[in-house]
Amino acid sequence: MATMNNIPHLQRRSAMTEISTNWLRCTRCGSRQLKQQVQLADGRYYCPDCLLLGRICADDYLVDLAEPNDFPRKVQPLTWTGKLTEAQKTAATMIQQHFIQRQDHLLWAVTGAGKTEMLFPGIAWALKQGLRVGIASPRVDVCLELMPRLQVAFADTPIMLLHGRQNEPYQYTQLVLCTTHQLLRFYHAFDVLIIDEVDAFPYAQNPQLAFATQQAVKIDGARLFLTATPSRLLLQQVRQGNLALSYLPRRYHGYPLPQPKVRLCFKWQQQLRQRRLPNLLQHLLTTKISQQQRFLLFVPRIELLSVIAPILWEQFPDLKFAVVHAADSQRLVKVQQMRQKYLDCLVTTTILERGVTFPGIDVIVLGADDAVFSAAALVQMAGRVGRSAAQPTGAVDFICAGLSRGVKCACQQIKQVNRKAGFK
Amino acid sequence: MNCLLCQQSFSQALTLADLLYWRPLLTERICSHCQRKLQPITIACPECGRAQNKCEYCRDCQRWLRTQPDQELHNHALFVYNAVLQDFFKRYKSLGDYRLRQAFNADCQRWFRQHPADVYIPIPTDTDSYTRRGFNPVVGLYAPCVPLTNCLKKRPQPIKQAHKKRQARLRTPQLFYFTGDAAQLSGKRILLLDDIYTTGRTMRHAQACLKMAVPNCQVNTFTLAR
Repeated sequence: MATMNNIPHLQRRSAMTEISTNWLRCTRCGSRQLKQQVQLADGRYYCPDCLLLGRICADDYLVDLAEPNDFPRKVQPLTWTGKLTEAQKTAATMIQQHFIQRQDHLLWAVTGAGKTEMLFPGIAWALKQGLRVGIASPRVDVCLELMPRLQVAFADTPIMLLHGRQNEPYQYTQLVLCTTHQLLRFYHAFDVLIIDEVDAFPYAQNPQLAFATQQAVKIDGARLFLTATPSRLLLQQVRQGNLALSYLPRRYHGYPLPQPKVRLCFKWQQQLRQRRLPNLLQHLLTTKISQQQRFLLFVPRIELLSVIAPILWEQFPDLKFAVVHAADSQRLVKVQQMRQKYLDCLVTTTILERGVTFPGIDVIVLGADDAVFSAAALVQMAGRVGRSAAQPTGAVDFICAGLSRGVKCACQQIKQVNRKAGFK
Repeated sequence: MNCLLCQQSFSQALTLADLLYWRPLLTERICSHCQRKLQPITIACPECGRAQNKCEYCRDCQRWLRTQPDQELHNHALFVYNAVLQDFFKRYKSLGDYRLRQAFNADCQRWFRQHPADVYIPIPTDTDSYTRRGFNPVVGLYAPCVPLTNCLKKRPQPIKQAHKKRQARLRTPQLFYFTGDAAQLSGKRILLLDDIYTTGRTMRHAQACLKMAVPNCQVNTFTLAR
């Protein structure tokens, strides 16, 4: 406490506030806690929801320093030499406009629209103004992929990368790249905060993280949400006028999103259990393999991977494929092998639904009607196809035992976006 | 209810026996999926409770018996200290998630019902850890299952057992002292409770301390993990 008083401008907030006789609210993560469930043996209360950042108790204090924006002014922070397409340029100016007006903004851009590059002019403007910029994504993989691209684009600006497994000590930098969980550590810190893939797990399901983005940005700061599949909640905010919306319905190479083909196959689960492939899948795979078409096969659950892999070995001994799931230690290696075309096929779960790009692949989703595949996930998986300018088309097949809301919604969304882009 | 280990929601499957036995129902706080990852100890070393293929003294205990032939220990441990439990104890003790204390209540309760004792004594923590954590992890684990008698105290330690290497742990001098009423405990069956049995140093010290204070009592020990 003595040292705390020596630092000027230090602001203190109580770590938990009482909202009623029985309930407490955590100031750091915004969660509501029932007192009797979170009481320690010595009578204090703690917040179990943001425990991984270090436990805080009700009698603790959160301290923060006001952000002074004392950054050295740069004349030209952007060292990126690439070019934006016309559509990207329009979106980029729109982004910058909203940054200048300090408004919250939702950019609905299709998968493969070239979102990252569109951010560069806006970020460059903010850096030039001496504003503090944060870029957050729900997924570590996305952050790790983004880091080198940002380092090239803003070569003279130090960037701090923050995620749960980061061992480097924290440094105060003007540009911060982090996972959305790390935003819980910031309070009114950023003038401009960009949240990538707002529809991705765990951000979409977690009100704590939405709270984090609200806390991390300054009161007069601007937030930019990027997504290919906005949630109902975000669209509701747009309708209420709290959030500006702009579209980028066209991919950077100008081709439409591939429309998924829904194929009904009623007994695929039983057939797999009997150790044989459903005819439909068998047929699809045979054609793809004979055309030497590389593809991703998504399945709804990890257990299915070990069922389907031996059948594939048996039926297609020449097919070079690998099985990838979240707990796989070889995940990065296998993805790299697929990228370098050592493999023809990856059999995987939703873990590869976003953030990965393989040129010239097709996508098959087995059991697309399963509850784990949300509409957003299906749109993302379909969005893996035709991402490169060299091979801008491809086939997406949803194999399902029935039409779920997710499948219908995903097909509708893709159709709608394509129509907006002026196709058909 | 959400599983305390994996946070997934689950519902407890009731057995016919649960319905027919006329006694309070044990509520499971761990889902069957996590339950399957635990390794219950069935055949064990009679001295320390380590899981083994045969019921014979393990190598550690043979060494203990050579150095201290007159101090026998009868420890029972419920589970092998595997990755799941390591993660559990990290969250419970290091991060301080006090809700997790209920995770193994049902398992412990079941064992205590089958192996009743007269007095249950938890291994104490030193005051430093208590003020930092806000709770005693051992008391948290067992207080809902059985009535506890706090009659041991721990001397403040410069380094925690968990942060020492094996040899340093084994060299630790007696760290407990008795503060209870010896007359009340005499002639009773005592069960000493701890969370994890690693080298056996703590347990043997606690047992020796009790035996010194109350010569004619029978002391068994129980831990959640070995």
